[in-house]
Amino acid sequence: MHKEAEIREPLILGDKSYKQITDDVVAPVFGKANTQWWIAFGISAVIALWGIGCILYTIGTGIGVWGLNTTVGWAWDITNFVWWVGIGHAGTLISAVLLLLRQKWRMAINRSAEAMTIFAVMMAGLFPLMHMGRIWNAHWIMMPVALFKNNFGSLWVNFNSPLLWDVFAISTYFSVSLVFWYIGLIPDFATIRDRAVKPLQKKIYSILSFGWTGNAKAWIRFEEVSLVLAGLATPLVFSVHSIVSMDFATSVIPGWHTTIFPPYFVAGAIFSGFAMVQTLLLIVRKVLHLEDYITVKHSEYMNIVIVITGSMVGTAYLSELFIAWYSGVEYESYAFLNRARGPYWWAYLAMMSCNVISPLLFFSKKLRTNLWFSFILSIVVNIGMWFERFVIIMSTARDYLPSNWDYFHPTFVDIGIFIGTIGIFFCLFLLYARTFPVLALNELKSILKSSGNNYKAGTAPDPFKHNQSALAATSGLGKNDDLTKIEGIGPKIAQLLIADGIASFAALSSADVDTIKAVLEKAGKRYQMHDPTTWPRQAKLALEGKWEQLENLQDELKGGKH
Amino acid sequence: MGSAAKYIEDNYKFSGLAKTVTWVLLLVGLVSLVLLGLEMTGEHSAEAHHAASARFWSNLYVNSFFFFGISLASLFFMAIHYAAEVAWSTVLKRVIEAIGTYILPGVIPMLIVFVAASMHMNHIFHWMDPQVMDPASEHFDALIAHKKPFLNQTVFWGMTLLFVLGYIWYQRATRRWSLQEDEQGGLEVHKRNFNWSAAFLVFFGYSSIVVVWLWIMSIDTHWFSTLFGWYVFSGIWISFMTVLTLVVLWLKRLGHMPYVNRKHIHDLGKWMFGISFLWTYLWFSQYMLIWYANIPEEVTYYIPRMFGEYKALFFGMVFVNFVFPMILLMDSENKMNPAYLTIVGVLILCGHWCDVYMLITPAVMKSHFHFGLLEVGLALGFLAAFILIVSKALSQRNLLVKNNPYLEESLHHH
Amino acid sequence: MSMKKIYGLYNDDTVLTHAAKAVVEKGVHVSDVYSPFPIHGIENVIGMKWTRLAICAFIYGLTGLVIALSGMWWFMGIDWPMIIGGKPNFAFYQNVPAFIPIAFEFTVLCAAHGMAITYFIRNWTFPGSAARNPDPRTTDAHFAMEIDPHFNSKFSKQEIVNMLAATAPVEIFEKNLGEEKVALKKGAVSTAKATKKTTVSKAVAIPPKKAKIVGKKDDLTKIEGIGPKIKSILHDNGILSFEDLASSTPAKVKKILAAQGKRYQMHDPKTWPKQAKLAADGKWDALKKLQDKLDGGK
Repeated sequence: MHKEAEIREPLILGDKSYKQITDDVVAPVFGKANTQWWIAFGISAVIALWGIGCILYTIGTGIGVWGLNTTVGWAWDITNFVWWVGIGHAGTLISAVLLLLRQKWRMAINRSAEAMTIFAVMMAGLFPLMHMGRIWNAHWIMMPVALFKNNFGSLWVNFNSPLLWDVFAISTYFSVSLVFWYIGLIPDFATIRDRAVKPLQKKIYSILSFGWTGNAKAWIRFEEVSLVLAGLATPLVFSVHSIVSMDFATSVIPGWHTTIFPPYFVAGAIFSGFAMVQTLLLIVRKVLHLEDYITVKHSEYMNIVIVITGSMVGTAYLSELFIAWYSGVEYESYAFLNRARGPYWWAYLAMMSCNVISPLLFFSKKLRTNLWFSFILSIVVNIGMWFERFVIIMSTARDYLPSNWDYFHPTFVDIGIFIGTIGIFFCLFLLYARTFPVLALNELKSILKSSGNNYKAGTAPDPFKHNQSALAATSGLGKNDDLTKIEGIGPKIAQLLIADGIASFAALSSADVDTIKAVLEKAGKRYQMHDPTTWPRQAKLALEGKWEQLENLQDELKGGKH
Repeated sequence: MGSAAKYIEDNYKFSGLAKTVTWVLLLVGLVSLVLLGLEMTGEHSAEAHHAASARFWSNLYVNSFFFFGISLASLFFMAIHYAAEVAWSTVLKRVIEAIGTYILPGVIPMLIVFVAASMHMNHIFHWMDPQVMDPASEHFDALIAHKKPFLNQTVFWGMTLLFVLGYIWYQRATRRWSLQEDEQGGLEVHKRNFNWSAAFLVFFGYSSIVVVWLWIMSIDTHWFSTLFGWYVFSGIWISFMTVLTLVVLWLKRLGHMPYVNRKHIHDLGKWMFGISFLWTYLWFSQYMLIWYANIPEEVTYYIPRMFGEYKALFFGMVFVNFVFPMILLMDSENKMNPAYLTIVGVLILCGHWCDVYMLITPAVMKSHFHFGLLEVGLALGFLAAFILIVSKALSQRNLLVKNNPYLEESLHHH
Repeated sequence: MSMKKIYGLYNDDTVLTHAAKAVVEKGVHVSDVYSPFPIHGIENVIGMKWTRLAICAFIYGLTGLVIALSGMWWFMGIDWPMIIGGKPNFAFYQNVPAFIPIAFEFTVLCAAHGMAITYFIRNWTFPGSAARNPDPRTTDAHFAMEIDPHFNSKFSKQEIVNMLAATAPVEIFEKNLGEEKVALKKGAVSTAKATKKTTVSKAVAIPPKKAKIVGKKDDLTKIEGIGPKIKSILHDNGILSFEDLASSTPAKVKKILAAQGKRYQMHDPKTWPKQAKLAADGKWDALKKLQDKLDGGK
């Protein structure tokens, strides 16, 4: 078994057993939704409907209903796209990178983080699709086949373009994350399937669980697949947001073309993703009563990741600023000055204060272990990360002639779609929280013995002691009889007697009282007070199968004493 | 109970053939250094003299920085070890510490190069030439003059000394506390280590970028790249991981460190594999973005490296540093196999030495590219000095720490 | 076939691992283990090979890489060459940095999905597949060890059950896929508790007929002339133990066999009760001598 350092805080609190973990985690699936859930779902659904309405309006009318105009070609939608994709980075990072680094605290949060990833990437995908205008032709970018034929041959999508790289990156990321998530879910769906009573429920979870059997070979394959997928997903996580950053960085536009963009976008994505996981899990632990699994320690670990990635983002901001000056390229310098002091100074200020300054507060242990503070700060970080994208895109995505400069104003449709995606996202997450096992059951069980509170403290039942007493009790087929049927003999004493060769009623009935006493004395003080005088007599009755007489005798006796 | 772990006696002594060979290599290095120095003297044309001087100083600088970087990365790894509550590497702590001890002697040749540069004995740092900053001079360079607030002797020396002293302080403090923990036990030392390591990570995070700008990027004075700091840093990190692996394998081969099991070796292999990918990723990000945008200010950096005399070394080192670890270490069995790890380790150590060579030399020697036996000899000499210093540190203390709260978990790593 | 698989059910992974070790040491072949989470090292205990899925992933990935690179070479360089952003596509090697992102993504795409599909096929799990775990509790907090009598012909069922019983299971039962399970030994812990509370612990007891089946099922193949098929026929007809067989008459056994069809009519059960008597009395040497004298039970 894995030996964990005592200095590590337990990751599973309370007095849990394997059974208890299942009970706690599947409770929401079998239980009824509470009022809180219905209120939250209701609000999200209303917002989602508004968003869907705006989306339909955009598709029906054209993207002229957005705030984009001739001089501002890329704005709100791309900001939201990058923001959502960024949020969608934490899940696979938690399940892949932290798996490879063997961080056990990921076990309680990976499932929800992955779900969040899937939903966030779905939201992200909406924006470029809508930006195409003719959404019904969207499949053109996905088809690596000839689209049109003319005199020269077939016309292909441009494989040199970062925008097409993005199509490949996002769809690979989405589908691989989905598969990774689902493969992990299958054994847990099987747990629900095997506990479900209602026929429809049983049927649904039977289909979802793919007939998972949980035999040794299947688990071997499961672990291998998880490991290889993690190995594949780790560079994938890096590549996806790097490629998103290349949408900007491969250009020659000041403020966009800077080599630090790929790693800096990745750090920013992890930063915002972890903040979103923090927000969601603090809600989940409260609403679904999972305080024993998503502990303060988990929240602290996430805050540490937030502060590290926040510092990396901060370093990148400062590097960019410094190099913009150092380069001596006046356009580059101007772009950064304009960000800080130009018309969008307020967005720059929001980005700097939310992303660079506020996470530094997490250096204080007191603050990073305060759940309310963590919750608020996690939202602040995501506001900051939205403004980061807004600053990067808006302060540069405009025409070059000063006479053509324009200020971007979002229309109600822009705002409606963005808020709407948040509504859809929460709807999906709330539905997920009620119907899916929100914690990875199989993984939690596998760390219970090394990281469970009761196991760390040594208060959990020792399986081998249990083993011994069970052995005594299972004696019917072997030589051993169930000696605990003798009044005065409990499982512990039964063990002692068996260990000394007194394993059957026959042996006990013919044993000397003094011999038994010697056995008890040998075992320590605790056992000396027991009086075995009547045990041979009782054993004789048991041996002869005279159970009624034995019972009568036992009623007379009190704990084996006269 | 529990964490009051057992004490495993494990003393290393550097002796025998290996020691003799190391001393011989040191001698080879000294001879190479002298020969490189002698090239500068004698009767030459001004240009030949300039080329010889550039060769001498750039070689000295490449080796100084390469080995200094390895010990610097060991401090970073140690800080991560504490701050991230890592357990498995606890059994390797003494080796990490020992590699860190090179930082103090290793900084001396660096300072020699810098002092010489400040005194205009070499021209590694073009901007240190007062003429380029002087508008009256014919060598005036407006672009470099623009950078004067950063590229001047005061900032250079102020930051260099501040950061180097910070690194040395952390190295000496952790090594001292490590012994203290052995002797007194308890959690007090561990907590102190944790707090200072977290603080060091922040210090290192900012300072490492700035020193890379000052020490390396300013050699190509006109050129700039925001990614450069992280790129150089990833290079020294992978060099350190490789050295750590090789030292551990060497010690195990001699029968030391019996508590380091296959899983520890596997983890070392994984780190070598992973950081090789990280380095390649950063190399590609920088290269591809500059290649794609094709802006004159930026491509100047790659033109001499890609199309000039340095071509073979430049592409060769990228190939070696990425392809060998990827192919040879992809299989998890290979990551535990000492033979594979040694082969890949030696190859990528050479590869990353070439990387540092590529960072410095093309800008210093320009078209006077010359790679001969003296380059190899000097590198071997530095390697010998590195081995002697690290071995001395290894033999000073028991190879396994005591009383570390994570020791038990690390010993049972699987 | 009525050679059902025997299962020991445990409530702890460590206990199961020790149990598996114990029975494997005695020479039992454990065919599988069912658990709610992966038990590390169990594959070594029961002698199961590690999977080669990672190799598949490598091959799929390589295929993806080749497809992506050759595809882009053809699309951009051959079918419609163009100069985009000053970069000539018709010189593949010069334009390779721009092809790396998609080549990488496509490699990962093929490796990940190829492996996932292989994983589902190898496990034979698809949407709507029927679950094959022997007991629904093995996806919750119980662990089952499966022993297939086919691979353990040197042990009688009783011997296997005894061995399992000594390893502290909570239950021993036999079962075929898709059939009801038959308890061989019911809940040790729970029975013990029930007995303490009240003597009427028969609520959890096994139905009498099955209990009989359970209690005294001997390996009748030890009788010269009885193979596994006939053994199962006899078991199905209530002749379970050596005693049962010893107390029945050759005529009765013959009738049972005749009812099974022509194939079994040629068997002559004349000496079987006699042999069974010796077996029941444990006179194995005498039985052997008798069998040496006989030829196929005749």
